[in-house]
Amino acid sequence: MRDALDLEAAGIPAVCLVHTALVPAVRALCKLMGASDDPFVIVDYPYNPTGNWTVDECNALANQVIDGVRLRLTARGADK
Amino acid sequence: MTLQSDTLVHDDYPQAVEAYFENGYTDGLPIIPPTPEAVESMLAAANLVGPEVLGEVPTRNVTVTAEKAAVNAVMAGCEAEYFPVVVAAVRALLQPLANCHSTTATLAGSAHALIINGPIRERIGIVSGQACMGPGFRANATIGRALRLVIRNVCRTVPTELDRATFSWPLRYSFCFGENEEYSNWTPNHVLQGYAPEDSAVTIMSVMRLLAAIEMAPESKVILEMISETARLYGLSIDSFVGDARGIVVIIAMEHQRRLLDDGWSKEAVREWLFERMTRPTVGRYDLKVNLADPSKILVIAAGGPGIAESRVIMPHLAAPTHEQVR
Repeated sequence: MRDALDLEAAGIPAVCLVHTALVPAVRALCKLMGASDDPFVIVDYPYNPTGNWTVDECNALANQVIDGVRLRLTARGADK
Repeated sequence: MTLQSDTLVHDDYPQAVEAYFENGYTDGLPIIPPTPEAVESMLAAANLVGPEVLGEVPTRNVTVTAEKAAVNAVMAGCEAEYFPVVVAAVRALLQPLANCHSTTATLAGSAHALIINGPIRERIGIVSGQACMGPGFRANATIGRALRLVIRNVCRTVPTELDRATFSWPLRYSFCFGENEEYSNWTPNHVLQGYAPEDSAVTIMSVMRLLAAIEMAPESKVILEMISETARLYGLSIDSFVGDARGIVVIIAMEHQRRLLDDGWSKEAVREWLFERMTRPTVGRYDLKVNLADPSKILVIAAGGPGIAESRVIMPHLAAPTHEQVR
């Protein structure tokens, strides 16, 4: 999350993908950074928070999150 | 001296203790209310002013000052004379290679071992012998707890929030012990790290696993083989963040140390022998290479009492051992 915030601050569009298991930590980090409303895209089960994903799982996951990523990138663009 | 922290006013001691629970400032155990006088005593004992910066957690925009560390040292139950050790521990934790953010937020829930060397042990009662890793000794218990309270309250590592440990574990209440430098002529850990024998220093080590290497055989090489096999049960991967600084800690208790001393083993020889064995290629699922850059990355510590013929191995979590002088 910190990397995404730093990239955004440098003018490079970034969206952070966060697994459900880590959402409270990312919310806490955003709050510390003064970016509590910063949007991120949540990756949920059945994908495990840690461990190896197969290529098929990666592809399926990418398809699952792509709309959310696009939405956040374009929403920020609209803000600017 | 002017303290910068917010002042909380309570009617009495029990109410203050309850308020700290309610505000989420504790590790689940009662704290000692940090009165301004007690905090100032801590700072005076370390010859520090409150605003002095001990270190930072850049990922979190957190700066740890001496005052905040002193507040938490009082809360932990430290005596003022312990505070220089707490300061050194915090500074060691906030060195980049100690990787404070990852080792405290991790899903894996690693702890931190705090190992104390030098004359300060005797002066403040740090225990390095029998039962040194367990409860019962104020300096060990409260210095370790002070570090954990700094991690929680200043570095914001609150369980279920920024701390995402799946289980967490009891070592996160407190884990501090000394090295027994007096039992043998082995070179003390802090001297091997470049400090003078008359210096005092802390070593902090992230703890992913604390492994028991029990071997009753009297032969010193059989003992060392058991220590190597114990480390190789899990092995140690290459860690691009820590690089060649990654290390492990081998704590040798009295029965094993006695056997090794009888056979003329120095610490340096022990780590050379272990390095050769531990870094052999992986041969199976339970015989994994311990990726270390050189023998000095095996920190051999003498500690613990007589009894079980046991050593212990600490395997790290995404961090290297770091050291700091107690001033």
